[in-house]
Amino acid sequence: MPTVSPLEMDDVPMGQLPPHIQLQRTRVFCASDAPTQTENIQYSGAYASMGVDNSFRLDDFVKNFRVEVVRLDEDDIEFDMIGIDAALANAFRRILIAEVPTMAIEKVLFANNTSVIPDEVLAHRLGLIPIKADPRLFEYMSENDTPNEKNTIVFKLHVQCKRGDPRITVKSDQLEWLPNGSEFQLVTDNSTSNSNSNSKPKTYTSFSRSQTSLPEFSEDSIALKHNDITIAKLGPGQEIELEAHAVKGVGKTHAKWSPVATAWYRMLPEVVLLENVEDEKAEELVKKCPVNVFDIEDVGEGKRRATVARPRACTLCRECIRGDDWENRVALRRVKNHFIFTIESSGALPPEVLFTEAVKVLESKCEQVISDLS
Amino acid sequence: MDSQPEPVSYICGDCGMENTLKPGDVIQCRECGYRILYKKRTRRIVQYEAR
Amino acid sequence: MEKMKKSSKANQSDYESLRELFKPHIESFDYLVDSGIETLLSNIHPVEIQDPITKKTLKIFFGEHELHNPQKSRGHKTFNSVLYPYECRQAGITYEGKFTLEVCFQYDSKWSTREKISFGKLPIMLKSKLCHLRDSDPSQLLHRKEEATEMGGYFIVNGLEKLVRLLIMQKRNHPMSVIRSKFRERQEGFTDKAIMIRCVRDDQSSVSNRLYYLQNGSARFGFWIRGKEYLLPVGVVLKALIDTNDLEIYGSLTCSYSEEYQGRKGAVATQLVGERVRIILDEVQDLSLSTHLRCLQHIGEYFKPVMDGLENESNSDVGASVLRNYIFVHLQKDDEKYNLLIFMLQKLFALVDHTAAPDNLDALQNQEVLLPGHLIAIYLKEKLQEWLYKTRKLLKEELQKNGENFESLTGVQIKKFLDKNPSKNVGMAIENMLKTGRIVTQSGIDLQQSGGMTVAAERLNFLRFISHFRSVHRGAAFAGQRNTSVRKLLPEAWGFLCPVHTPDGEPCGLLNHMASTCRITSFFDSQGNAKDFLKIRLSILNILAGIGMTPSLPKLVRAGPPEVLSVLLDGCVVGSISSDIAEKAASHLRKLKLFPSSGIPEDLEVGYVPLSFGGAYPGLYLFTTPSRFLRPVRNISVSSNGPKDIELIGPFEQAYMEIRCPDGGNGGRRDGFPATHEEIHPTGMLSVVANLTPFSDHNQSPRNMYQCQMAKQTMAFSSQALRFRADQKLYHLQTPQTPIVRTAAYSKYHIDEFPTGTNAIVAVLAYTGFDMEDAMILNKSSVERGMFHGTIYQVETIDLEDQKELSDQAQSLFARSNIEKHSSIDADGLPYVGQMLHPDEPYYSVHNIVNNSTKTFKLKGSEPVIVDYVAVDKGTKQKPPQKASEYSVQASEESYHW
Repeated sequence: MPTVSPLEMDDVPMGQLPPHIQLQRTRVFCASDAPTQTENIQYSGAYASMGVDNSFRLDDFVKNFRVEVVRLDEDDIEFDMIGIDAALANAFRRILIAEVPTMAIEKVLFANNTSVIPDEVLAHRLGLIPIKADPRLFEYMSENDTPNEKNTIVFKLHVQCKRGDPRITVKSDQLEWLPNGSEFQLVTDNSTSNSNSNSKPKTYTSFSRSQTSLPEFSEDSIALKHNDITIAKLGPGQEIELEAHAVKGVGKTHAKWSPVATAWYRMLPEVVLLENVEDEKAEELVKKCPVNVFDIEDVGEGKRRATVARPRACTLCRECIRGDDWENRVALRRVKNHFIFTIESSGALPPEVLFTEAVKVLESKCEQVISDLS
Repeated sequence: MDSQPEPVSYICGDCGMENTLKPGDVIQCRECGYRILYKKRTRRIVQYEAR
Repeated sequence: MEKMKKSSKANQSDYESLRELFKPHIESFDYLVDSGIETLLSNIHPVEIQDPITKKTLKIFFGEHELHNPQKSRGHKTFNSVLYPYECRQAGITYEGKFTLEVCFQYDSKWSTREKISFGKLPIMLKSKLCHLRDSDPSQLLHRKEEATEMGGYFIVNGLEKLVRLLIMQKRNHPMSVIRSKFRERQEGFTDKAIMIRCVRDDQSSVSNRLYYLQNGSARFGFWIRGKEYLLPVGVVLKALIDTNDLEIYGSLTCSYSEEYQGRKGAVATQLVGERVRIILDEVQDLSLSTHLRCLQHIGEYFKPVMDGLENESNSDVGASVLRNYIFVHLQKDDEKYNLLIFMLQKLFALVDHTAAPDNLDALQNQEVLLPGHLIAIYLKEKLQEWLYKTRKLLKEELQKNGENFESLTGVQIKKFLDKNPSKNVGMAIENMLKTGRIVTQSGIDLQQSGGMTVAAERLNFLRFISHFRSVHRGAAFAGQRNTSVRKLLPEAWGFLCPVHTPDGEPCGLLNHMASTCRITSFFDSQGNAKDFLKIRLSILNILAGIGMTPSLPKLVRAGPPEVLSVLLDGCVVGSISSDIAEKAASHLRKLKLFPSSGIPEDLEVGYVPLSFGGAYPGLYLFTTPSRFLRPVRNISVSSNGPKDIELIGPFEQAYMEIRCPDGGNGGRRDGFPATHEEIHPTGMLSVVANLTPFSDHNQSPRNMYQCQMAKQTMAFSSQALRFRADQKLYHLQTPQTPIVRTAAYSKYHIDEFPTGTNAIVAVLAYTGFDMEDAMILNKSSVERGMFHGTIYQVETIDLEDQKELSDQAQSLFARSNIEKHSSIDADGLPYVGQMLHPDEPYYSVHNIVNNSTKTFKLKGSEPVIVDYVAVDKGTKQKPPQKASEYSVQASEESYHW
């Protein structure tokens, strides 16, 4: 860049930022060696000398914030979150992973397990099976609570491979929902239980009514998200008999309660051609890009020119700015306040609901802070 | 050893036959005479945290 | 590529490539079973006792032997009494077979009785010819509660898996010139130069002989009798060996010197030779030992006190016995011994005159390996001989005490008498040797070390396990030495020992591992048929004679290098060949090696040492012996493709061969020496474990070394038959994966059967004060979903015999107390299967019948455990129940975040 004496420079227009500073404020520059301008300028007086107010204003945020859904199906959603700070976008991601509750198997009661897979490993496997049950309909079970129909879902698994039969694979569809709670009787001291033998035997749960009789589950019954998850394999003569108790929890405690396979975002890529890239160079550029960001268009007179056709596809591999002085022709940037957000639901709730749940969690956290402060 | 102890089930390491033994019994499969016996798994409920 | 796929699929069922790695161990034990015991029995000296009164003699010697496969000791009521290895592992007993010998008593060389006497039990190597698993295919192995891949090669002693360590030995039957300053201290007038030869009998026992050069130009012949070295003037030995005269000795020693060849290439003898021979002959003259008989008598007289049981023989017979049993024991005929001694003298003089270079005993070129079967053969022979000597001693004492004569010592009497010298101790001694690795012997049996002969075959993980069987140790004697030259990686080891796979630290360079393609010669050819060494040597001699070799018998040829080269076959001077045609003869032999019908064995080592200026002593050295290193290369001078051109070469001949590496260019080879052979694959020089490192040619070399160490330490799948094992501690990785990036060796050796780790994406962040091995961050979700989870299996064995109080012989048994019931103890006094136990929780109780007391035992350790299985057994002991524990792995310094 040619050096210009400060005396010869134009006056800085008051009330607005010069273009290069504006660019630095809103974009991350991805050079071949390292990214620059990665930080967000938070300080309200950062541009005071230019008469620009950098403070955060709620009405501006409300005016500018947009959410555009790009893709939505049963388990996945991809949407653009525009006009938001990276800190907030990340807060949503973390809440999605760790603080939106789901139901997951927490306790496994083994009556028998003669398979090759040890009890504790089998219990761990069962814990990771996603359960299709709306966690909002359940209560958390704290340490002193007794398991009841409002906080526990009970599944039963009883499979046996008979002698002489071929080996069998136990899949998740063999887990059977017990809406009436546990069937295993609690072993108590014989002396006390003998007195009132006609009363209902005590089990590991104390359901006051069947979960099927609850209106919430009348139409949408509780089941597993996937029916083809391999749980174990049984050889001839082997048997598994167990009960699995699912409770409500959050991913913070254990990953099995995380409602998402994962949730992530990336900043919107911006690919800019700094000069006209033509003919062979254009073709070279198209070839360079492994994800096909660039196209070639005819500009007449047999001339061909490269264009940026699909900037969203850019993965920041930086192949296009490698070698010679390609860095002078192509600029790779990221838009600092534009996030392409993806949520992969693990099945308990649809992905779009998960996001609104995450917003609710953040909201309640804010309320908590306000109430704590006041 | 006053009250009679409950017998415990064992499985033969060779033929797979189930044998019930009381304390003091000879450790040998009644079917095939094999001398390594594996204890049968308990029917008592064992509880595990799925973590 | 297509071919590779096919073959790997075929191997899937029988794991042939894995089996190949264990062959040296198994074949050596098969030899012991097949013919080794027979050979060693025939080599054991009979003992004779003379009745002081009747002057009748009793001769005791061994006849036929029987070695059985492992059977259960008390087989009553059991339908099959076959003892399987897994039962030994679980019950903590030894996998061994009955060993009986016929002991023959001959009275006055007239009538004799034969008694079948049990010599205890000999441990049987797994997968050897006497093992029940020998011909089992993978599915049968599973039925026998073994790994499908079970490769054998080890012993089970008291339930522990032990293997015999392969030890480096000096190459047998090959005279080597050595310069060592220690030789000077031996006696006044000695120099630092000598020729050493380690002579091995056909029963694998060995005796070392040395030929020292003296300052006065003479030489001393040194040999060991019962751990002590004795020295004889070489002239005496020469004359004692055959009936010859001074002129003949002078002629055969000086023949290699000729004035016309002086200063020419390959002239090893100088005119000083004649002077020295005169000194040697004068020494004999000074002792006034002029004739063959006088020399023999001189030796006999001198050695009578140290020779056992020859007190009544004549001096010349004792002398002959010394020559037979301690000098060049690998040769039978005295002519052959004489010729070899002449050759050694010539080689010694060449060393002294600097016309030939010394041999490096640290180079693999001059080394071979001690195999398990051979070690047991040597030790068994030693112990049986000791038993005979002891029997004689006891008998003599008996005779003196009671004044009885032999006639009364028959049948039952003998048996009764032999109880004083328990024959079962012989089997026990072998078992003890395998158990402790220590050799207890008076004679030293020509081994450099007496401890560390065996190691435990740890199953920390599969790679650790295989490496034990592929490792070769230089010898314990070198471990303590300050001198590091033995640890050096020498170019001679190329292709035989892996340059990468050696531990760092104390055993570095001493404990090496065989390259993946390296084999060891044995008594069996590649088809598994026993070799007939006599026939092999005869056909080699016939072919050599056909090429133009002059046989050395009846009389040695009067010429030497550079005109003619001596031809040595297994340490026997069989003739000489004109140096012009020697090279052709060598390459002709090589070609014949490729054709089994030629009578030349495929593993013949053709060591052609060409004429040189002051290089190694020239000659044509042929070896057919077992326990040599061997590796396959492609012979490109033969114009056939496919397996026909694969030649097996040894480290001795390799040093004189031109072998090119297919990807290595010409390697600086000059036009005068075109390559005759080619490496099959560049990675053939690496061991199995080193072969598993991908892109090892892109690493700094110590990194590959460290990887070999780390691969052997990692928590992985150690065994698939976990339920049937009773190891003290076993590790098990819960979520193993097959590597995304891997080498061809990975599938060749079926490492997927015992995976060793998990694929992971690693990000390295540079931070001051930390490097990548100091700290790590793991993804919380991954860890909670099962990444890096592992299990530790521990076995607790409770032997009720040990529980007995010192005084009472009361029977105790497992039982629960009725008074204080513990929720963790079942009615049988043992823990419930599947139950979790916490430290300090009682888990078993023992009831004492006599004083009617019950004692409970608490769980030791600091981690909670889960009872995986409980087994009771009443084999040889009471009941050992077993317990396994579980807990997950923790990384060094982790922090969670999401």
